[in-house]
Amino acid sequence: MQSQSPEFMPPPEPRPEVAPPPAAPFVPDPALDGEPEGATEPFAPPSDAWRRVSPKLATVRRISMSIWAFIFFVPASVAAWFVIPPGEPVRWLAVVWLALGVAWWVWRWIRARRYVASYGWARREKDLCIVGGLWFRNLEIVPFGRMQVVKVSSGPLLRAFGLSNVELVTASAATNGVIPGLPADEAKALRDLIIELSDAEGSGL
Amino acid sequence: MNPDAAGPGPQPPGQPLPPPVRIEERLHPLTPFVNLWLGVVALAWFVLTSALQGDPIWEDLDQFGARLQDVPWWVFLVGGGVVLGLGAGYWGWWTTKFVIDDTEFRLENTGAYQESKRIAFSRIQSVDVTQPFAARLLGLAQVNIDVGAEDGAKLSFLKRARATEIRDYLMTRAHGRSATTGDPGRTASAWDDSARGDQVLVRLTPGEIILSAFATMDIWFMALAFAVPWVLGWMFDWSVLAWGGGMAGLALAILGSLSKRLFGQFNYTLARTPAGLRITRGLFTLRSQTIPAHRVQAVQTRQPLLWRWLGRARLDITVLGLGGEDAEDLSTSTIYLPFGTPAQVQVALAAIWPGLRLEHLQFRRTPERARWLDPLQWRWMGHAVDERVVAVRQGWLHRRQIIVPHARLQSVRISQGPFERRLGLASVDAQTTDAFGMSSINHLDAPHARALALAEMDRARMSRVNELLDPPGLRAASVAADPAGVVLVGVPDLWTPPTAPLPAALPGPTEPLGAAVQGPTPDQ
Repeated sequence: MQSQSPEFMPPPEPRPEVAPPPAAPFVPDPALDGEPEGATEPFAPPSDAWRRVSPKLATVRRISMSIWAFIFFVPASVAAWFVIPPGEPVRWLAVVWLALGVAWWVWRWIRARRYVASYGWARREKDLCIVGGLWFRNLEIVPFGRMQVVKVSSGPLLRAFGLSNVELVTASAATNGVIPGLPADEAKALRDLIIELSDAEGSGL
Repeated sequence: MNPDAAGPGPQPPGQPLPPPVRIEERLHPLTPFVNLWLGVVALAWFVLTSALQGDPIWEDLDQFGARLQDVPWWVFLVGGGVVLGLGAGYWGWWTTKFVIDDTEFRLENTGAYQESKRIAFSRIQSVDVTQPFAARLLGLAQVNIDVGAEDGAKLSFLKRARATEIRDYLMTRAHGRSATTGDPGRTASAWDDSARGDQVLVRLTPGEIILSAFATMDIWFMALAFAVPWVLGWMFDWSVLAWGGGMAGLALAILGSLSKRLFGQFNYTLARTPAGLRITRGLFTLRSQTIPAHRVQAVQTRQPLLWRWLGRARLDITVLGLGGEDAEDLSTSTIYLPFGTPAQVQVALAAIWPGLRLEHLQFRRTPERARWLDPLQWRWMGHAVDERVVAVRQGWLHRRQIIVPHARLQSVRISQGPFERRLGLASVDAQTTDAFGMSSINHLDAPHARALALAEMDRARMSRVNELLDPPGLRAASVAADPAGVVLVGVPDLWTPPTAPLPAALPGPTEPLGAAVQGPTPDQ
């Protein structure tokens, strides 16, 4: 699939550790593995494929986005509609605001699936790669040896769907290593893998 | 009340002391005075002037009560404050002791709050000596012990010579070498902080400092903003305009900006000492700062427009734990070289990274089509990679050049926005713990960006491993011992835009790692 140059993927390197430690083996959902859809060349996976985040994250994002959209658009426009006396043309601003909100909500709703599908992570020898984003794509490459802290967190909504976020913290504030919405057991296994490898690699600064 | 009475006192110099050297001392007894010098001076000023004006308060003591009623109320306020402050200060002085023995540094306070702060030598990042104005007049100095993230310890105040002795001892111990506390030979004065073995690398004259302060655009913009309403008000007789509009604030801003550059950087000296690189500077408050060379995360060269015409540049460094350039306490300043010619820049850079050959870096441009995204700064934009560092150039009027050693890279990011995608470009952000936030190589050819980022990770890992095998903290000692530590080979070309040919789709020819990626990989 991905023909890498020998420089970056030394062929003699057997990759037995790509699979996580035996204690909690990954069961990569075949539905999650797959081709990065529409990924342009710089964002191709470093190994054979990106491990995609759970598609359930799209549902979570839709729900939380709907709540925010409701809070942001509905009360303001309803209040404006009833406060401004009829006959004033300004009153239609409330409708415009609501229409804007609906349009934004529909757009986000449709995009949610593709947005979530754009996120993924992969291991490249001694680095962890995280890819994500649709308009603004990012591929973050973090060496295991540089990871200071690994956080696994999940809010109530994420927890209801059995998902967790995994966040990598390095000494650089600019590093943004968040893998959103991994299945909880995969998140824990990934955390253990990272801790094990970062211990082996050492050197934080 | 003798500070030396509490402990063995200063050790006899010159003798190699037996291992259990233990210093247990109080701070200097003038410490509370120095901390309150403004109040003391104000009070003394009042007494002096009233005496000079023919109010001999002290001669007619029978009218003392009447005289006392003539004294304005603020004098009592200041006087009471000073007395209270001095009392509290002496209480604190009496109950504070510092202990330095073979394994640790301890600052003990047995006053109202019992506190014992212990700092292991291996945790000490750097030790600086500061001489605030009042302390400097009295021959005192303050020792700041920096331990990185948490707040370190501050010994204020000690006799100047004692402060430098303790600083040198702590620095030597922090570098993992053994030393005795009675190391002679360092004689700090009110003007300088140097010893016989020191090698002065760069010294700036007052004229250069003044030139650097006035040759910045923001001073002239502020002066313009100050002058235009004033001239308009004078021409059209709008007195309101002349004095309204925050004129006072602007004047203060100009003065503050000028004084920060003039007073803070005055008498700048960069010297190589046995304990490391040392910067000494300051007109009123003399600050002496030791740069831990192996902890420098990134260096930034900056050239405002006017400086480019003058042929000068400024160096900033990022060291973990140092504050920003506006740090109130300038001993944690990130300004490494405030103003320098290319030769001085090269000397200063070589002092941090001895092997760095700035003039050998080959800067490469981004593709011509990136001009659409950066019409103004495209001429200056470029990047260079060699086996030790990666360098990035950015900026239009204010040109910047950031140099990051591979061993200090934290992570790398490839990013691509919608316009970049349309043009087939991508950006690589080499992230370190810098405060500049500018180490992004923008708008590279997309496959080139990926190859560069991946190769950069490999180089970073290799340099990291090399560093673990050969820790630079210990290596610095041998470099410092070498009298010809700084070899000035050529003057770096800091001034011309990168004229190297447009990059091929590959990382540059200098690195052995990057000769890969035969064109874009086949469809994924």
